[in-house]
Amino acid sequence: MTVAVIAVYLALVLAIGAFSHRFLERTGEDYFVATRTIGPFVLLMSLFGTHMTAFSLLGASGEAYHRGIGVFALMASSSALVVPLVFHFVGARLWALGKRHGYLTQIQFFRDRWGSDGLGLVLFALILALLLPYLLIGIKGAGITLNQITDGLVPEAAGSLIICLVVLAYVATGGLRGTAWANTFQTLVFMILGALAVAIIVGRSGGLAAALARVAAARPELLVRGDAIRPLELLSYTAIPLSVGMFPHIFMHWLTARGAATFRLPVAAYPLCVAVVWLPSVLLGVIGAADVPGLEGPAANAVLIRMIALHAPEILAGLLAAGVIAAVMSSLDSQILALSSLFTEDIVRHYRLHDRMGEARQVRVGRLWVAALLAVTYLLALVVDRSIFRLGVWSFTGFAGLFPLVVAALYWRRSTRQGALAAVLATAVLWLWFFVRSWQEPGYTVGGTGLMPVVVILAGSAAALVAGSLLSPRPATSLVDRFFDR
Amino acid sequence: MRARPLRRVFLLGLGLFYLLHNDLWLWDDPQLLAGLPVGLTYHLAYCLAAAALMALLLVLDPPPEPPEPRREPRPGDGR
Repeated sequence: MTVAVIAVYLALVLAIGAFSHRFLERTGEDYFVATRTIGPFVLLMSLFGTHMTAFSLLGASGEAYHRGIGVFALMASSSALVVPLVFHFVGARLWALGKRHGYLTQIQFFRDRWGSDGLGLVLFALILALLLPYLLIGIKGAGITLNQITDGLVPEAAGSLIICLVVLAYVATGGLRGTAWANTFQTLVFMILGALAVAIIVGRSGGLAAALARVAAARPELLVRGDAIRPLELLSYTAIPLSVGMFPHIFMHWLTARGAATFRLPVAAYPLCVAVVWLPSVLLGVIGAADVPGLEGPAANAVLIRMIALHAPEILAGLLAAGVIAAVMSSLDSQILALSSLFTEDIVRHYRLHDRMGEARQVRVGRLWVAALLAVTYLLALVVDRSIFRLGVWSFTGFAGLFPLVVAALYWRRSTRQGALAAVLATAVLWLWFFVRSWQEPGYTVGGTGLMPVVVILAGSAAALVAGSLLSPRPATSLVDRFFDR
Repeated sequence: MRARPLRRVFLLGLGLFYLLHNDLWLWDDPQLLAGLPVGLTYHLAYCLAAAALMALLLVLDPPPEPPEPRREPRPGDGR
């Protein structure tokens, strides 16, 4: 029965993709940014659904299983403040420039802003590298969910593959409009079912007070932050949500807005949406530590699904699992579409490779590119056995390191392409260095102080940008005036 | 933001609000508040307060509608 419920859900999402195909105009602007016609509610749902992923459900509950309630403060309440500010001060401004200059991708904006093809290429490579762990947690999360909820009937590898194929199918048919509609549907599904999950699971296990009493008896340290989280760690985690300013898939959704006022609802409602999704995840992770003890390391990625399977009846378990899959797919789809647009617009079209290809071949090459990337990520997901939360934090750390780039592009006339390039290279080198350290030593913080590497990377990137800009000649006024109102 | 004094007050408020995220005083407090561990209730309330702050931001600094697009050609356009 559980499998049937999930199958019906996947068929529904495919139907939305197919339905939106009827509205698709045969232009790149319609396929990649829905001709900039998306209204406030769909923008909120698609931005939020895209941002929340396996990280927020499986990753958050798995981390809370080991580290307790403090996980909510680490990522949820910090995102509730930082992310809407980025939407307001970065997103709305990028949307205006995107509309003015007809941008479809992030790389087009940065390449134009500093008049540098080289910068565009380096940024393309780094964004691709940083997006891989982000894709990986989605694919891995999908496999874990299907495997656990079917009691092993669907192997993890097969579960990941099924979700990849479904997402590929509806993205290919519906473009960004289909993705935005599917995201809206899926975001509503995982928000409503997430709240329902905690209500049902806690209700069936004797109420919240009884559940917390079980935790207090078995793992009292999970109800405080104690030694699991250090003050400097909490402080430095607030830099991680800055990553939202540099995600290519979020950039793509910003461009779809109908007008500047469309951003009002996402800015105002985002903190509430974060609370609605993260509270059930963290609570179920903490309660799971008492109800499903003994999950070591990355095995805790599955605690949410184990709790659903343990406490919810079969049909409901299928529905709740569909909610988790919804969260995974609503990010994967946008990431896939962003990767497709980056390749099509920034490589094939920009370097005029399309002159040598027919329309059909361009489409085929674009799809092959996305399929190849997904295949690589899928293979990685089969061998990498790490915490979803930690993998997600690493991807976000790299994107957060690039944040000074977008701030300088929007607010600093004196910034130059040399400065921008220095910032990208500094981020790449520092991120790689810290990533290797952290891989060898899980839970690594700078000097063992609790300070997250994101702060060092952000500072290094900003310093490189400022130094590189000031040491290079002023940018041409004609270039800068295209982006700043006098 | 249009009015400078209001902007300063808002930015100051934003800075203070950011500092309030670091609730060191609740670090090891095991009490329950509103049925949840107090450290969790505090950060849930923080999210609600952030929503109110964003609503205020939109009143003080509404996103300006840009002038009609003066779209310029990009390499590859019209091919």
